[in-house]
Amino acid sequence: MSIIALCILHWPENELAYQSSELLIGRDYQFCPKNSIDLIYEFEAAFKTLSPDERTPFIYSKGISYIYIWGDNDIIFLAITNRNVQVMQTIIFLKHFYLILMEFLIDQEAFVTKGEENAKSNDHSRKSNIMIDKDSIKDNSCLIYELFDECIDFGIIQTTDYKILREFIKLHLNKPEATKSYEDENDYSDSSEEFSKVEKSSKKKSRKQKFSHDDIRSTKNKANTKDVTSSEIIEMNSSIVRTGISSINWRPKGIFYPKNEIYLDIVELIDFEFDLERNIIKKNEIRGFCFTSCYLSGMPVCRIGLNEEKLSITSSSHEPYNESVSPEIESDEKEYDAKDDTSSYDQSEQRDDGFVSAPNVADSKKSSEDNNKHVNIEGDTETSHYNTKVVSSVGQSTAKIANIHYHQCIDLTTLNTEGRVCFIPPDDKFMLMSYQADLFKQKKKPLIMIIPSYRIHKDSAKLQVLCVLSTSFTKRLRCKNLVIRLPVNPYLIPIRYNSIHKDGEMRFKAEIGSVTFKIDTSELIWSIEEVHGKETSLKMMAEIALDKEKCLGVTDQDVNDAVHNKIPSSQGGDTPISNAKNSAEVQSSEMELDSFYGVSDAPISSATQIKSQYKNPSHYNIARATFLLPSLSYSGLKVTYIDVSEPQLNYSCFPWIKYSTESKPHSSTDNSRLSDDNSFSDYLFKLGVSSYTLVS
Amino acid sequence: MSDGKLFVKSKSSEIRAEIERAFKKSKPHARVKIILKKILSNIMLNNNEMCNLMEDVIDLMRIDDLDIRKMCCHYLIVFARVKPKEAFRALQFFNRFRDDRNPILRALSIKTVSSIGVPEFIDFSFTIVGKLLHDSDAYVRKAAVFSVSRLYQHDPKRVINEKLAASVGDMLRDSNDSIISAALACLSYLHEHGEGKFTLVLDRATAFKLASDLSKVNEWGQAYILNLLICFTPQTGEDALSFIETIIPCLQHQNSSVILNSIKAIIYFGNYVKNPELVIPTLSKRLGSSLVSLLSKPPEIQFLVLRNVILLILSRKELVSFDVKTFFCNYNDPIYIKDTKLEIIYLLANENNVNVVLRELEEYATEIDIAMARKAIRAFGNLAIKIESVSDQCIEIICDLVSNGISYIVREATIVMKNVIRKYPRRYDYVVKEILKHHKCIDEPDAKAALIWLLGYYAQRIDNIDKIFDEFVSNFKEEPLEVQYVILSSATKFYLQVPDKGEPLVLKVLKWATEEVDNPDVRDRGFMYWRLISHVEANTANGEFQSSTKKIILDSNPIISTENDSIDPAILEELDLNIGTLASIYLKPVQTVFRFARKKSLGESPALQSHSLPSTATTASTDNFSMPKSSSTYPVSDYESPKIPDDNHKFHDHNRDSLINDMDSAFEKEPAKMASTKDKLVKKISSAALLGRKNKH
Repeated sequence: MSIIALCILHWPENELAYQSSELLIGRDYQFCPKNSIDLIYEFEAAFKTLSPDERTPFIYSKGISYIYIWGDNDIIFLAITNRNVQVMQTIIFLKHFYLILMEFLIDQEAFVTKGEENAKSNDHSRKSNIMIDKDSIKDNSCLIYELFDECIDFGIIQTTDYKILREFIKLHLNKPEATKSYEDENDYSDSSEEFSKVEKSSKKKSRKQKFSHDDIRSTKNKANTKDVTSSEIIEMNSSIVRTGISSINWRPKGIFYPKNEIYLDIVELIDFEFDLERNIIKKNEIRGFCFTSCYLSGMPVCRIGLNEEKLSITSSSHEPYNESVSPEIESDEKEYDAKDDTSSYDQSEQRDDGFVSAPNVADSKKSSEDNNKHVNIEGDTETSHYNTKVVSSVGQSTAKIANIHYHQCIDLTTLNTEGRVCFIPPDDKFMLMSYQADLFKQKKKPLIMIIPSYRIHKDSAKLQVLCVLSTSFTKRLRCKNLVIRLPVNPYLIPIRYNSIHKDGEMRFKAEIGSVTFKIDTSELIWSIEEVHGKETSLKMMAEIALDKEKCLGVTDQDVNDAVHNKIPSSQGGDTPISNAKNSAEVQSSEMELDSFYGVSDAPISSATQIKSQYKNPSHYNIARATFLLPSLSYSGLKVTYIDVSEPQLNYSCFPWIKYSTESKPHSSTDNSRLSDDNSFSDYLFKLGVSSYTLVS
Repeated sequence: MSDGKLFVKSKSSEIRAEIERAFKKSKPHARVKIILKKILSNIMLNNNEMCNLMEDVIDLMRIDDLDIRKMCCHYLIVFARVKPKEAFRALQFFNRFRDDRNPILRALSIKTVSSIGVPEFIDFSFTIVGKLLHDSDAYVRKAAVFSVSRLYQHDPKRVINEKLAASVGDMLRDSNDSIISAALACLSYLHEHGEGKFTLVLDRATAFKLASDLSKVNEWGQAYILNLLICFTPQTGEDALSFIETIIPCLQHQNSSVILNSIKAIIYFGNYVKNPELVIPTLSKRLGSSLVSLLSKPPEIQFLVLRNVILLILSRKELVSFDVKTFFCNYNDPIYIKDTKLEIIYLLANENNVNVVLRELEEYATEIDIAMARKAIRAFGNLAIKIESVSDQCIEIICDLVSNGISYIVREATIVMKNVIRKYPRRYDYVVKEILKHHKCIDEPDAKAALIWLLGYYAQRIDNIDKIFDEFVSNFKEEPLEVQYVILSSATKFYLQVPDKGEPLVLKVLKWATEEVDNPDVRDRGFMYWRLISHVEANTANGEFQSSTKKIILDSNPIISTENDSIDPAILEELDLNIGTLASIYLKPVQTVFRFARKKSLGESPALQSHSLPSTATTASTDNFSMPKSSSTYPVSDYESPKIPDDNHKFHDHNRDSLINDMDSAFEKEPAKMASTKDKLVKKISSAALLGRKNKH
């Protein structure tokens, strides 16, 4: 790693030839004969000469390599180098830097809005500032310069831990809506240290509140960071120096909370694919994350027990693990202890010896149930001859959970030798670990199953969609925010867009939840707020009127083509988009007018346009579901105990655990800030020919 | 106050006036800050007029405010080179800062001074850096370490002479772990980019100490240590093994670059252990799964990982194990990811998993994404060539797809079939017939060339061939060069095999080529064919029609194969040591891309294992690119004296020797290229925009 320059660009609509990028902020790190501004022009030129599918994140032009990632709002983070750099480091750094910027620019903004009394401006600014955009970068150029300087020196990465950086960089954020005069600014700088203190505590508060609204009972812990930072700038800065260089470089000293809590939030994202034609599961994978929020004083040592004895398998099996058997058994015993304890101490939230208590009764009972289920799963894997990715050569146990990655605070060598997770946590939020599990071919029913069927009535020119929903998780659980999107392939099914607003053209009926039709993506959306487990058949019906003439022409062959993404062969196999364009060109100007106003039976052009803009027709063969299943970990991973000990302060700690299994749509949430992992998952059902029936 | 307003080009005189006004107020700091922000914004706007403010900005450094000073330093770094004389005055401030009790200020002074490439500043920084390297404050020491590498850019000799590099080396024994990693980063910079003037060799004790420090430094520090460990050459297998064992836990780190660097280090030390995969049986699975786990990251990281996976498949199959299923594409992967995954699927395909692979590829071929579908079809063809036992299956699938008559599929299938037929002559004639049914939708030069080649090859066995041929030939003059070449050779072939139908056609083509085409190469070729056909000895030997011409033109094609999946082992060895760097993306010899990069190689040691790479690799690849050598087909002497008056002819004389090879093998080199992975890699590289030009495939 040693990059020449780091730049943040803004480049909207890069497809347009005349649009050029705008340099928002940049920093040169090493001497280069060329000005970095010229290099950016060259980057642009090189980028434009490539066709879109050749644009890899690494572009080489005239001896210079450009490494870039796209952020939200057309922001590009660009690293320029002329050497054979450690490119993985560079790209990870860019990602981290992006996350850091989010932390610095967004959280503070949330704080700013909190500070504002005006509720209206509050809402407004939060909406507009969820993402970093051009203006927020420009507004905070000084802050970003500081970040540039602290994260990288001489093109070599120093640190990317935002908590550490925050200790260091005390510049306050420049907020867009404030209208302060110079004098005000002046006052600010005088009282800056006080300001930053207040800022900090209330920031924590605000973050906490954010956290609390997802199910965890928060205790409104007021952080009181008895930091060295209080007195003078000079000392404040030496504090970071100390933190950054101590062997525990992720946790500053002197943190104090009146109430000590640790939250473990285990989130599992399901990647699921089901082929409705062949009736098989094609993919069933879990990406799990353990997000931790830690509000603990001093220098605590946490120990976490997981029911995954396989942890040790993935970590190493090159040594015979005879010795390690005993601690495992021990931990199993502990696990049962914990369970017994929690069930007997149902009402008490927490026990002094530090064993975890589940937030409520239902959960603890459920957890035992889940464990049973988990055992079943294992039985399945052993009998089936399928080998998951990592199979230990020692013993016959199949590792379900694989590819565990730990936060840097976990000492990996002791983890390997002792087989338990032991760490000194950083303050506040971080991602303790991430893991993957492949549940493929485990003969396990999918959590949520939908069977859509489309029936095209040719004579009455109607499309009937029937969707049957079944759930297979335990009855006690409730699945929340279930949204099922059923595509209506516009190339196959001729919907009468011109009269879509009339009554009777579309009718929906659902046993539960509500149904809408989204015209731009041509989807039926069935949204259900809450659904119980073990439901066998919840039905939804939709009826859509079709264009009569075109409807008669639909044949089985068309269905077949549509399912296999083949575009009607009569049109030479070109993409439908270009066809739409061609036909649009043919239209006479008169017809265009007609269609614009939707008169003389011409279809409204805007609808066709919108339709043609929607780019990828293969989406029309995929039904999706998104949902949130609280208090279930699909993989069966459980935290059996948490033990927090602080040798000096010796306080008691309140641990909280939350499980959830999710399928998330493609949009970033605050979880994504903590990691560079993809924070979305796909829960797909691929339609087959059998999903369609033609009735004449 | 929105800083957006500051992003407006200003004049230096305006700003100067503003500074003056600011100082008339009682508390000028805030105002000064805003003015400085404005100046910096103007730097971003590339407003070089700001350099006129040098004196004013230096004056501002006297204000005792860290933010202001930082901004001033930034200004200096940008403009000091432009106005060295004025900037010189700033040295007095830095002279003061270096002894300031605030460590930040001390660090700032050395950082700034060493960044400015003006002799006075460099002199000054040489005088202070030595002292600051031993500063009591770690932060300052760290800054000083980086300043050494900065100074090295400006004056490498002096850095060595003043033993600065040595004293940075001493800091590897610093009590503070983050200083160690900073020193390492600095030394590795000097090592890799020092143009050979500085070489870092780690001794055993240091290397072991570094490895044991792994858990103490932060994630980036770990990455640097892992990266630098390859500067240590282990002398015994045990040493290497113990390193591998220390590094293995790092595979579970959250930071992907730590993972990739540990893989590199493990691969490196694997060279010094006899059969590491037997000593640590799970090693290959662990390496494989840790790479695969990175595939859940965003596409940029995935891409990088996939490129390195290709590298590892080519070089260390035995050390890293992969399951082909993990590389199946997701429908929402960006195209460059799909592309790379397809490449990996192809490389991993073998007799055991080929059925799964074929099923998956078939799905891609029907995908809506045209580029993807084409690539899938190409993969079918390559698999058919690579694994003989499944070639029937592959070809059947291709035939199936072609029968739908979708134009881009037919186009691609044509190109693919040409290769397949060269590998298995005469086996898949039915596909050619199927393709010819849909010949109307072939309009791209590549596909056209392939089809015309097929026509020439199948002249005898297809009935209505002259009509189809006529269609394609009719546009001869407008065709691109490569198509013209193929038309010429195919028309001749056609004539030789079916003289009665071919005669009018070949005459027409040759006439066009010699009389109406402006390109001298085409014209030359036209003349050559013409004279080959019309030569006196052409059909007199034993009364057989055109027997000697047939010998030349209808010679059997060089067989193509995919044996050369490997790149040159020496290049691979070096690429292995560059895992995770840009070179691993381009998959090219490091020096060809980065001229000044240091050549990395495995250090000599008694423990060094010579691993056997497929020995056929090099020979096979040379075979593919060489011309047909049999001397009988190389009748250069036959047409030594050209009698055709042609102005351009002499100019192109030197071409003639290779002419005959050109016409058949220039085209036939193409298929050989496509089949060979080596060239595909090169092609990929161009798609990775290395050459910055459009990839014609």
